[in-house]
Amino acid sequence: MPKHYRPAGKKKEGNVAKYVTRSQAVKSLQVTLPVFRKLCILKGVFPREPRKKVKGNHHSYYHTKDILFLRHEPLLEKLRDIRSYDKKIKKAVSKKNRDLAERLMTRKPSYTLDRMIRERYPKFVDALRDLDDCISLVHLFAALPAVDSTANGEKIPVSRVHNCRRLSYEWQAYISRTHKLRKTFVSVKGIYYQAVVEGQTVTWLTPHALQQVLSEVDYRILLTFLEFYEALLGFVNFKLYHSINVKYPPILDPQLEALAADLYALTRYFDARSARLGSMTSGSDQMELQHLPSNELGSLVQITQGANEDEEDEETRECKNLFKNMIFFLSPEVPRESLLFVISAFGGIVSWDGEGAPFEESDQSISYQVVDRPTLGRKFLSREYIQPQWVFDCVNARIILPTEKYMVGCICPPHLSPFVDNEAEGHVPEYAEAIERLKAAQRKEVMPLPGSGKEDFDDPQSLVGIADRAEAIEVAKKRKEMATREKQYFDELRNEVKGYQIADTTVDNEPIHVDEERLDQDLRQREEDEASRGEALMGRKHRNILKAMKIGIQKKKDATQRLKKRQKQIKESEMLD
Amino acid sequence: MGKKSKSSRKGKKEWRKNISTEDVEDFLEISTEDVLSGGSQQKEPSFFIDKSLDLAAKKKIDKSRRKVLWCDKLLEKNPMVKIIPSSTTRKMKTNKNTKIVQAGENETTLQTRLKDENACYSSLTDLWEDGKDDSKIKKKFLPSAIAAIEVEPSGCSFNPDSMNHQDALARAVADEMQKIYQQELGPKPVPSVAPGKVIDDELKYFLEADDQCDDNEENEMQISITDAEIEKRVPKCKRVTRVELNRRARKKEHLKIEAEAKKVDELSKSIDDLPAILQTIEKEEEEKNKRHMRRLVAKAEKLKAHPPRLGKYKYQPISLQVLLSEEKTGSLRKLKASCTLVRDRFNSLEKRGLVVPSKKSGRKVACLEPEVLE
Repeated sequence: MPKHYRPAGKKKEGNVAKYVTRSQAVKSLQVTLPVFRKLCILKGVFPREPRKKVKGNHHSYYHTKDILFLRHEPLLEKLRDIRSYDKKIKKAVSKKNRDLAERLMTRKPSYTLDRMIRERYPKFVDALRDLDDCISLVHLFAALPAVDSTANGEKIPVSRVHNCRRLSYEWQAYISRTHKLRKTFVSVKGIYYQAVVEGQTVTWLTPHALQQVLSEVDYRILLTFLEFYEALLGFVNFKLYHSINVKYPPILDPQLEALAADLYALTRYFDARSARLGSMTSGSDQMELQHLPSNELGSLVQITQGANEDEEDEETRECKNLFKNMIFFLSPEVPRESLLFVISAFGGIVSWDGEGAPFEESDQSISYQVVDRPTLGRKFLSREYIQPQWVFDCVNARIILPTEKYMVGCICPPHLSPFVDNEAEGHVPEYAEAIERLKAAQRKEVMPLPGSGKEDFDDPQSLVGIADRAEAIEVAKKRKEMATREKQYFDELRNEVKGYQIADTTVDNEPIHVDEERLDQDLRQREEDEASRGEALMGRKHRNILKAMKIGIQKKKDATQRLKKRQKQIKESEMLD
Repeated sequence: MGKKSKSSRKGKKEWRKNISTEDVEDFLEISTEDVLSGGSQQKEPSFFIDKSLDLAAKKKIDKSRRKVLWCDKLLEKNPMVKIIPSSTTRKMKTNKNTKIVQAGENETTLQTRLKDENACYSSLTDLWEDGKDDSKIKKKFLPSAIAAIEVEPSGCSFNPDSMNHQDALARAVADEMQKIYQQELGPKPVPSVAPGKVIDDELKYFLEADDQCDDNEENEMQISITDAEIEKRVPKCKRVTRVELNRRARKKEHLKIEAEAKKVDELSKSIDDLPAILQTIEKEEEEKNKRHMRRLVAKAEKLKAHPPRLGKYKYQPISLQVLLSEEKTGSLRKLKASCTLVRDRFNSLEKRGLVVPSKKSGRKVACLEPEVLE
């Protein structure tokens, strides 16, 4: 008798039925491996890890349902057609039938990815969620050198690189126009940006403006991903541009394009569109011309102000007004693209050294010039000379930082990451504290004086958290005064009840000597009491969870204490030296 | 030649003999008669003019006449295409062979131009315009919970704060040291050269000689043992008596009764112990559950850092890109930026499980190892 008997007609079950290996899948779909890979990437089908790998550890497994899903994909037929068509062309070429080969190449079948994108992202929000990887890859390929010959298996066609560049500039132009950029971080790898589009946070990474080296990776896979992402970004751009009533694809000034000033050309296009649709000024026609008069700066400012100011949320408005009325000039040695993007995203006006720029270096109205040289030759007195890090730090802090630390020749303070929550980490770098103080100072100037605001004295937790020593002392003084007055009142009452004569004793007007130690103890005691009151009401499970949380918090505190101690020691040892 | 079979197998095996050819013979008869007699009068005339109005047939003929050739239909769509009559004059025939190559164009550029012209630009429309919900929404399977872009810690900035920088450096150094330790702790590879003296070619043949000598000795020992065995004798077996049999039966019953009593005893004991047993069971269950939870949590934690094993090769993470202490200049212009972002993006794809790691991706690329700052 056979060992594993299965009645006729019953299908396989368990892991064997649910998962197939890659080679099984390729055989069942009747395609070649590269085509299968391409199809998987375009369709979003990825290998999984089954509980039990039936055919061995060295295979990759796909879900059977995914493969069946692939089988009914019309793109499969298209890819097969393309393959057989390529064979025809190859045959014609090898038979030296040039005529036929050309004729065949003109009618080559091709496919589009619209349907695929619609399938994978049924709603626009889904597409926005997946935009991180898309934009990063597109920006990366925009900076790669194109390789046309298939040396080492890499082949990056020039047209794709150009397409990526165009798409990346369009995206940047949209973000800067609608002031949606929120955070930037310059790291060794590249520059990280974060923007908020329709409620979704999109984070992406741009390479530095260096010549990127082509590592040994499989470029065919990357190019397939890129194909899909290019199509996706195209559609996303279309939808976004339409939401601000700008025609897509935008037609740019060819002269500016040739000068590699795509971003500036796009901003001009935006201005032209908004000017035409918003305020029908006569100056709008002039915008299309290539050579502009020298007082164009004024008209630019006017037009950007007249742009559609419909419902923007507070953050956008805040970001828009950060660099308002500030005019920047970039020296040739600073990263131009990045700064152009960031400055215009926060409402500033920027120009650079080169042809096609809106204004020259010698323009009198420039308020900041961004340089990155160790020393400066000629200096204008009316403007400030700063290093590019100042721009990034201002953007992250959302206030205009003092420029003394960023002047030419100085070593700038550390560039901190806005993506890291310093409070959570426990360790707050000194410069972060300095920035916080500046922020608070700026806010206090606007807000009313402290003390008149509602502060809850009864909650000891809030008191313990006050950083300012003086405030705490003040508050404690007040409370003590109140306490003494209360006591006096009760004493008097008691005396009245007992029938004694109330002597007209004046209240002791001695200065209330606040013992700082007692004060601390008092506060701590009250805090503990409050906490334990709540604890007693919890069940055993909650209490344990609370205990575990406290242990974790304590551990973190210990770690930061250790770090602080070490810092102190280092400082002391330095001072001794 | 087997036995003679009882049933007749006329139908199965002798089918050739059993086919009746009556109808064929009849037909042949009739046809020969017709030919010889010149056709019977009752038969219908072979050819006649159809004067009936057959509407169905007409419709069919008209319909197929109305149909246009597929190739013509395709061309009709495009108004730019001019219809060339099938017959061409001599002049046009001579021009047919001129190539559409532009002056100075070689093959590669021609190919690219043709490709570009023919590239299928998808019509840019608003894909999501109606905002309708497609009914068949597949449950989205996210290969990994790892984010697409993971922002690096603060110490990897181009001008980092010293504490954060130390943290990041420490992490990078720890990763490198881990790799070194793994290599050291692993099993030693098989040495290519074995220790020992070199043996000459002649002595090689004598290596086996000693072994044979030993074998002979062993055989002698065995022979002596068998001789000794023959001398022993198997004791004779006696007949079993009735007494013996009865004794055995009584013993068996005793044992049975004792066993039953034991069982009852144990049962009562276990019933008394019931709460204790329940407690032990509970504890075991708790232990099992805890172990299960621990394993799940550990798995989830592992998944946050790297993908599950998807193929033949393991996923190799790339090292943290930190500036070394001597490279920390604080200036953006002098920044020694990373120029291998392609590798990083590919690694991110692998990390999320979208690409199966291959032999190439795990290969070690020469990278600067960060040094520890004293």
